[in-house]
Amino acid sequence: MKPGSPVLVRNAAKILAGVVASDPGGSVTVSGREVDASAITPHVARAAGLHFVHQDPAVFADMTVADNLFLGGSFPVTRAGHISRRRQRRAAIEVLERFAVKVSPDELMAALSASKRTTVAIARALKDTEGLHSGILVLDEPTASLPEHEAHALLDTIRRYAKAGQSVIYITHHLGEILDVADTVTVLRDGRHIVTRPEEGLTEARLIEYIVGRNLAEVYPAPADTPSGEIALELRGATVGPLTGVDLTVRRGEVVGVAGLLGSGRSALLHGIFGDRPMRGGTMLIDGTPVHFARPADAMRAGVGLVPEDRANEAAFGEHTVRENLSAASTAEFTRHGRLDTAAETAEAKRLITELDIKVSSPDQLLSALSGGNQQKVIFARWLRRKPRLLLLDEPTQGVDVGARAEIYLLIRQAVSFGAAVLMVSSDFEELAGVCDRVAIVRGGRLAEEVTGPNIDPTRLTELIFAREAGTE
Amino acid sequence: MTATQTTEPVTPTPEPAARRHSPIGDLAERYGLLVMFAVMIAAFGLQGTTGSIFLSHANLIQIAGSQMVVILVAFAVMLPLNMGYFDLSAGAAAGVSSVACASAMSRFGLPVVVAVIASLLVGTLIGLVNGILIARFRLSPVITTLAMSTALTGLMQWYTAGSTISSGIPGSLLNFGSLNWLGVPQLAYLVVPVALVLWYLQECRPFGRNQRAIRSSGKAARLVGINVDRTVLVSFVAAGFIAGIAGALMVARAGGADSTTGPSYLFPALAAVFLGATTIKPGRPNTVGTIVGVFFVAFAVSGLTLAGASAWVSNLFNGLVLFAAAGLSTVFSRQRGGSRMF
Repeated sequence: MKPGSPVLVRNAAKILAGVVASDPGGSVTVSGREVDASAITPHVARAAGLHFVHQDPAVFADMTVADNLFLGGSFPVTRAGHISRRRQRRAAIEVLERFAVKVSPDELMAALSASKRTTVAIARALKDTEGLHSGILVLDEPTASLPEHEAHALLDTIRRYAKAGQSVIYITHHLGEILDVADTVTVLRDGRHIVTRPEEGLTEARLIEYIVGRNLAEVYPAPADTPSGEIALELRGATVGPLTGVDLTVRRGEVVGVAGLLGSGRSALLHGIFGDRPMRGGTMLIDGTPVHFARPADAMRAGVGLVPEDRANEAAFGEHTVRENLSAASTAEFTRHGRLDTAAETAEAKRLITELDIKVSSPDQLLSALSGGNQQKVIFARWLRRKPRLLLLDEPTQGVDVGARAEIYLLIRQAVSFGAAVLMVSSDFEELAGVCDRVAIVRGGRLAEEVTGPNIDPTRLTELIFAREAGTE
Repeated sequence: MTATQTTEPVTPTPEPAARRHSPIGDLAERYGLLVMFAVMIAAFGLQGTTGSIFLSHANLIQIAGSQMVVILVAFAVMLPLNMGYFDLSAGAAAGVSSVACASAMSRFGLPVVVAVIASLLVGTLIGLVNGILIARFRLSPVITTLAMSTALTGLMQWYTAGSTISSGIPGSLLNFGSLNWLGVPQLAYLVVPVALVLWYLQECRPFGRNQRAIRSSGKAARLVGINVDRTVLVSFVAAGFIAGIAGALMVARAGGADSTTGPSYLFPALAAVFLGATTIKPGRPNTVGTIVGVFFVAFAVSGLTLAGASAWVSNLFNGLVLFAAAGLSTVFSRQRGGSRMF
């Protein structure tokens, strides 16, 4: 069972793109031309006028914008067969103008902002269309790795193209974006088509209902009583990554959020506390005792756990079983007389699967077969079973559907009610507002200020992370 | 279900037809190579005159005896490969160890025990250097071990001056290399315990699990508390130690050492490990699979040679097996959610 539409929506996109073969029996009609769904290859898709920009658009950071525009297509060549720089540049300028992308063709991709990079990828996908906006542009989670203001810039661009007559299929987890840009909304869940309807009159609550299949009275759990536990984590003048002189305390039973722009050092802070990055200065105290963690294993011994941001690369062992993933941070505990006790491991896995309601067919199913939300629950279970004193969460609900998101918020609350302290990084300000007791703002290489209780609201947080952005020290 | 005023059909969670392989397909993957092995033995065995030679006790023992060194070199390749790290210097390391072992007895007149210890030390040292370069200085495993292999081969050529070191090697060692005990080559009594230790390390100890976690994602492995650098270092040192054992066995088996034999074991060993990764535990290198892989190649080459093919068949066959095994093990690894195996 895979609850949550995103995986399936993405599969649908892959079928259209010809990346994944469809089962026979369906058909796809583009501009009046019908194609057998099982016969779609990337080539057929392209010929039919479908243009794709995937979640992490294939851009080459160390090449120029002009090179990126023509890679995979046809570089203009001279009669002798070598690439004509002059003509390529001219053609690039023409494409950039046509799609109103305000960058120089000679700039390196790496120098562009993330939203600009995606825009260039869109221009590349559309540049060969005959009319200005013929064919269909399919965008698969284009804003997934963009900070909010970049996402806004990209959405503006997409809206402009749509107004100019471009058909766009937009796949996303972000309900706000759907309500923002879409004219017609289709919801898929568990491999089924649930609804296709005009966006007009659609509310976020209604959309959640379609996606989850039940009325979500509240996505965010009621906050616990005001925390008053003793201090679990204390940082004094900590210097890590781009951050210097960070003073921060987290009490037991408290959820403290960290808000800041991408690259502001939010993740570096968590990795520094966890011993994965060197702390270049300052002191750290866990339960009042000064500690120094040379590697994550040291931090784990002190009762610290980290759910990293990049699940695929930093947390999930896709080709391992769910059981192995659950016990990954506790193998020593399952070692009896020098060997891994797989029976005990399986029993524990079953207990966790039931307790966290993880949708799997058996503990021996491979993690990669699970939906994003369930994978994330496995990663959470991996750490929660260690009863951490301090739990570090880096974008805990990224790539997770609404249903599982609510469950993860509950898990966080639960951990806290058992006396854990939680430090959580998120770029979703509504999430921070809904889950955290206190939010620390990082800005300009420092922990700039803290917001407490009723003052935590998304607009205020947005204002704060951008405040004095231009003129920082 | 608390859904209210929903007008559109909202059907609850049906099970999507996830692509899981059937238990029969699983069995076929796991034991396919063994079945092919049996079919091959039968095919060669039923070939009129050559068939009886192929199946004769003498031939079987000959093949088994000659493969003991290959098995050890394959083990040396397998240990780092479990983490997705290539060790292309295993053959050369075994070669240098064998030269050290032979010359200790032949040129310096040292007793067998000292010569064997020298062999083990040389192998371990090579593994240690590999391990430090790769774990601490983060050099690419392929390039590092390829460079190591080339340099070691040159060193051997210089030291042996192209000849075989074979004089003055005590009969006790030679007997151990060539005689049987209870109808089985004596060398096997040394290789079997090594295999058991490796199997235990890989299948029962957290060490094997940690290695596989590193193969899956080194970053994630570090973040669940695995000491990645130490695991890498230990794996290469252990691989070097096993290459050292292989070196000593080479001297016992061949009665001497030269500069070409060791490096020539690398490709049969690689082929065997890859082939082994398609069986027993499909999708990853494993001890039992590696042994099956070694014998599969050895019996195939022996059968083909007896049927009239000449010496080139061995290289050609190893190459083809490497192709097929790399392809198959990747397919199996993908089915299990991994990417390309290495």
